Amino acid sequence: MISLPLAHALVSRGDLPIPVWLFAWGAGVVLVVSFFALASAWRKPRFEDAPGRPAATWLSVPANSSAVQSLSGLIGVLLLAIVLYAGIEGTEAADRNFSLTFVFVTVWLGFPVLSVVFGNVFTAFSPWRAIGRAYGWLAHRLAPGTVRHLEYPEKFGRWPAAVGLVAFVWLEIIYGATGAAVVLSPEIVAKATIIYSVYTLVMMGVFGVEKWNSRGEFFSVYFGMFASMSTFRKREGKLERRRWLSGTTDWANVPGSLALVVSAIGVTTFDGAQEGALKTPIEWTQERVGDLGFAATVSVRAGDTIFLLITIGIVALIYLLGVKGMTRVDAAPPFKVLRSRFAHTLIPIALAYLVAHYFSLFVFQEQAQFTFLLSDPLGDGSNLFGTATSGIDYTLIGPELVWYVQVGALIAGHVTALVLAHDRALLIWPDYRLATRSQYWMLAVMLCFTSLGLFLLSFANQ
Amino acid sequence: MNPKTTRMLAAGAVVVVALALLLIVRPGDSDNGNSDESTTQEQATSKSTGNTGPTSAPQSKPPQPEKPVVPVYRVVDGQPVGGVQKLEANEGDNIRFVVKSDVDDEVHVHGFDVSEPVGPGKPARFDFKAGFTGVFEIELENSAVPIIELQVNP
Repeated sequence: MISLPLAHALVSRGDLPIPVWLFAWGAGVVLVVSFFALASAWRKPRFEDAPGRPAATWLSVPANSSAVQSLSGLIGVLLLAIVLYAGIEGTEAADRNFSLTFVFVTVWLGFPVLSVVFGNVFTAFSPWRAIGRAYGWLAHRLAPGTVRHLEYPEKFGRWPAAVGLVAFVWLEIIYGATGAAVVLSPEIVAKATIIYSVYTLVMMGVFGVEKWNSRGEFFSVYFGMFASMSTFRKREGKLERRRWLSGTTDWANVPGSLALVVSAIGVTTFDGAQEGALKTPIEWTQERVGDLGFAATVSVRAGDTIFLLITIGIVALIYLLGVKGMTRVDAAPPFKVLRSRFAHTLIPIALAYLVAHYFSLFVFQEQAQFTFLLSDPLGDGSNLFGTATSGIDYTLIGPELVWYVQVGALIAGHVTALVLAHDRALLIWPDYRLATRSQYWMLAVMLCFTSLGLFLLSFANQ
Repeated sequence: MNPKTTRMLAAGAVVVVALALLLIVRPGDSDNGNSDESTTQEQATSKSTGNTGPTSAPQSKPPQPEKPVVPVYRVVDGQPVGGVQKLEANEGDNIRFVVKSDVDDEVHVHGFDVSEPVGPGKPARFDFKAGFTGVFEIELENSAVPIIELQVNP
């Protein structure tokens, strides 16, 4: 019998399943909201091609300044160095080492939220972009004209980032959480970071820093996806403001964008389902793989990997079935066109899933980040800022607040997705009646995702 | 029928179908009341009594409140007998249980951060207050093997 630990190597506390009454209320609100979305829809697109205007001076001056850019880049490089140092020199206890919480919680869960509000701020802090730019600047100074890049094959689009995203989550929740006495160790994270840094810097050297940053460097691409919802954007080096959400409308024009957003939803779904809804089938698969004569660690990872891919596949299937349905509406563009034209409507769903599944983890783990992990990053007993003895206060937020945030996030994501889908349909079908008819299909898609989200939250851990 | 009515009807149909689907796929009733607690735990126990099952007993609603039965969990060859066991409690309860192991290790309750050494002939006894809610892993600290999943309900 193989036993599995809770999802993260870091997690000490898991959420309670949402109670049945809240489940019913959440589902009810979603249905009422959906009904209104269908019945009282607007007839002209509101988010497509929304013009940008220069942002207020007190915001744009620092954002445009190269000194701020260099400083934030330097901070990024410094933090990368600390992650590597703590990972290699620090304690092997996952929850006592600065680097794991910093990478998997503070950065990975913090930047999506920051990005939605402030735009793609990660770009400024990206250590790889900073190193790449510094190198480029230096090379230009020393030997002008020698830096040449290969043309990035545009058909690859964001595919490298989608693969990177899945690989990252695989490292976090599958490689790390193998039950058979292996937990993701800070040293492995440090080694993976070194490998990824080398890979990223080489790719930046080959295709150009900004090109790879916007296509292949998955942190930047993934956070940039959420940043497209923000009112802020940078264009030609200038900070602009535009209507909220309007930036999503041209986000999916790049190939591989659908793969990225589907993977983002898929990996979160898998993390939520592996402890509950998928626990039994995963264990069954792991035992079958074990029967083939593989070691316990191998079979645990293989079973998890199979179900991670299946989950991503199911998410893709739900969306593609909806798109297939839309092609049946009169005057519909072909499937291949529609497929990418509605991909951006899944971004709010990806955000909602992220908030619903990781809100409490983030609140609790950030307390660790700014108390003992800050003062004692290596876990060796030091106390740099006098906060080493403080810990996580698990009574800070109660189960009710967590439940409300979870259900609220899913409902908000559902509504936002429907709004974006309706807007896009009005662009494709100038006849608003046809546009509305096409949206029965997207409504079905979003209902699937929202009820799946509610279902995962309410599934009692067995 | 004019298009508006058709639209409203179709929307209504979608809503009804979705509601029906939601009701069908609604998760089991195991999480909706305290009265089921003992049954769940019995099921968990009977499921796992393939070989030498753990002598875990319902804890929250014992017949004689003044003498509750403390559940005992066994670890053989470094693995929990019958897989990870489930232990439920309510916020504010005193959580009491015993872990018996044939290997030396340390039993660690995550979240509440209490640990007891365990080994052949020296069972680990726990008695602490469940001060907050959540789902917590109880594991063998050195080998990182989870043995119990503790759920503290509000």
